[in-house]
Amino acid sequence: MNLFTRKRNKNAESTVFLDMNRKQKRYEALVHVYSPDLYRYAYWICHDPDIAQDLVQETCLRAWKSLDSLLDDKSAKGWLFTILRRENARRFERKQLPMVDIDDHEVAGQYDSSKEMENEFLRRKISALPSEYKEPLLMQLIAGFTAEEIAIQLDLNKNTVLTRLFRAKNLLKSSLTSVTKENGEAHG
Amino acid sequence: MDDILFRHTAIATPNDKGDDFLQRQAEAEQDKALVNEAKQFDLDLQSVLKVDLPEDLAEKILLEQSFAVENKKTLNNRWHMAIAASIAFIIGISLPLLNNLNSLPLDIGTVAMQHVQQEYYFTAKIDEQASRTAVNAKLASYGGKVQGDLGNVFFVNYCSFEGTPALHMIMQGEKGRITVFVVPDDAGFIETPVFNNQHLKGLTEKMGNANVVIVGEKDEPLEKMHLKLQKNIQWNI
Repeated sequence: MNLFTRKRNKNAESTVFLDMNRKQKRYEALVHVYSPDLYRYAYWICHDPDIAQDLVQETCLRAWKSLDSLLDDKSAKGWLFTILRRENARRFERKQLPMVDIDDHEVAGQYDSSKEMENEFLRRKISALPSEYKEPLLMQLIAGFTAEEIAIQLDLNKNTVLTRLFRAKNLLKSSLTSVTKENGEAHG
Repeated sequence: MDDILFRHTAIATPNDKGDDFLQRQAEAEQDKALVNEAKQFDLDLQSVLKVDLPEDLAEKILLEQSFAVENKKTLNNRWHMAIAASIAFIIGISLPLLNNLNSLPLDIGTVAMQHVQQEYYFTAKIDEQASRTAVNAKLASYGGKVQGDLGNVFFVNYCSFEGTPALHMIMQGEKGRITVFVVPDDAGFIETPVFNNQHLKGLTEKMGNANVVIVGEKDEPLEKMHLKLQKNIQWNI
């Protein structure tokens, strides 16, 4: 009898330990796989490397606390981005932080190639996009979500998402061509 | 798939795998070129969006998490400590109450007999030949004064009568020694007019503001002592 209980206790203890271990492993894997995407997404919605990093930290911490509620690992990415967007919204609830204009610290010096120049203009235009266009774009190009997934996460119609993606890219493209045209004229 | 929808799809989601969309690309060269151009634009945007990551981002996140886990542990400990402290506090508060409850039903006779038995060997031999002055000096605080002769008083002193300060006298009886206690009547004992056990017997009488308890051995005529005390001690009321 004594032997039995001892054995059972030992088993129970080691399963708890295993569970803890498994949770930690799962969490570490999630962080390694998704933190780059989360960071870049955060960076483009808040335009500040430090705030972006804080946002990702907070997102991951919150994820750790409720990791048990994540049943399916396939939905992990969407879950994490939802937490990130909520954290960002909370940041604005707390206090309205002054938006750092990306031009202030991103533009520095001369660009030696036209490709570099073009990228710089793209960067500025992306930052300047209205958030209803920017968010679907970032979710598609940084996180790799499909239009359906974006629609679910942002609680939008799929067609609305497609339209916004289309408009966002068109805006970026047209500004790019007008810039190069202006450039051409200026030099011509 | 019409032109507008095709164009929209090509720009918005150039990697779409829908049959209609793929079919149009296969049929017309210029449609395929449009899609390829859109794909290239997506790649360009992606490379622009790919900003440098902070150094050791993942490690920093994991570090933060380990701090949080530690914090939670210490918080949990604190919680346990708080509970433990509360329980200790409650026990500390309630023990004296329990003691009071236990001590409430004590009756004066039982306490007196216990007291006498515990000190039996000590009181059997003692003889300090206490004078009337000595008795009066101590009796005064209970509001009594010896007027006549009490006979031999072997011992007179204060004692702890189950926590209550009482006067303890040992006197000469007819057959043996008699113990007399003077217990303040506000001590809250149950008053038992007469009492006895295997070896001892006794009686209690209220005199002044005190209970006088007389305890002797079985064959001792306590009434005589009782009368002697009544006659020779005057009590303030």
